[in-house]
Amino acid sequence: MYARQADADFNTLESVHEVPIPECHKLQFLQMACEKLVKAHLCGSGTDPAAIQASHAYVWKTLPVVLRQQASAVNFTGGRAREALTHARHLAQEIEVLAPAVDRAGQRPDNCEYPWEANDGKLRSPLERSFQPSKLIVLPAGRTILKLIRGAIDRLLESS
Amino acid sequence: MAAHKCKKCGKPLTLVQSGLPCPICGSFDRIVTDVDQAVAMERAAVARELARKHYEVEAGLTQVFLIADQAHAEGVRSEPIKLLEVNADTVASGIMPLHFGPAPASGIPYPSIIIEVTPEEFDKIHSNEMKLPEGWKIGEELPMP
Repeated sequence: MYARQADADFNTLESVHEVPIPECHKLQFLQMACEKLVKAHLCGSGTDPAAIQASHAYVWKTLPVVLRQQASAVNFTGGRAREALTHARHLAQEIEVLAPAVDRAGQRPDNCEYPWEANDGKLRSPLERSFQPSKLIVLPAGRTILKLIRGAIDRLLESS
Repeated sequence: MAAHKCKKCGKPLTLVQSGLPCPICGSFDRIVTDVDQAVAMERAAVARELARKHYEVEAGLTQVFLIADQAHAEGVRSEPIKLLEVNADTVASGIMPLHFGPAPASGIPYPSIIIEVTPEEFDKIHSNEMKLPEGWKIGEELPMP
């Protein structure tokens, strides 16, 4: 079930990619797709789905492992793979903090859903924010990572 | 876990050793007596290949270990290959086993489970401050090629 939800979220991300809507909405679908992708792999190893449903803090640790496994599955190796997977660790960290519930003990209140109070005391809105993942996914390694995410979701769907 | 022997000198070999030159005589010839052992040897070779691929693309990966599962024999074809990977570049957030399906086209015909931990978490597993899932134990190291 998590795989199908990940697929639906990622399909939506792809369908709105060129649509002129705020960046935060697009990134929310990326965050949701990645979260469900990694939760599908956690459930596959016997983790109780109920135990992981409420938390959003899984992407940073597990998405790079999922993407590396996908790279192995499609024989994507060598320097370009190493570069992309190094980039994936940074991107996974930034994707995880897009969820409003993940704020790194108040250090990262920025998120793609709700307004937050910044360090200077001013209210900020996701609508006017330029998020790190938007910058990271347009780099060559970032586009490779999106392909690996798509491939990992497809592989899950094929095996389920 | 299945037992293997060097055909030339008779030395009993571990799963990992069975795919490497015999530590005594250097021979690659093995005694394989039944289907379970053949599967176990193939699984060990696949585990080494998986580890090699991971070492190749992960700068922070320092050690990879097989995980021995007391509940399942290594000769069972459907049983996932379980790896514990120590990575200096990951974040410490506990034991999170990730399941992956087989990828026969790239030489991985078995499902796998990967647990990635930091070096500090690995030390805690060793000292029993952190626990692997019930029945799982750290097995042989798959060395960096």
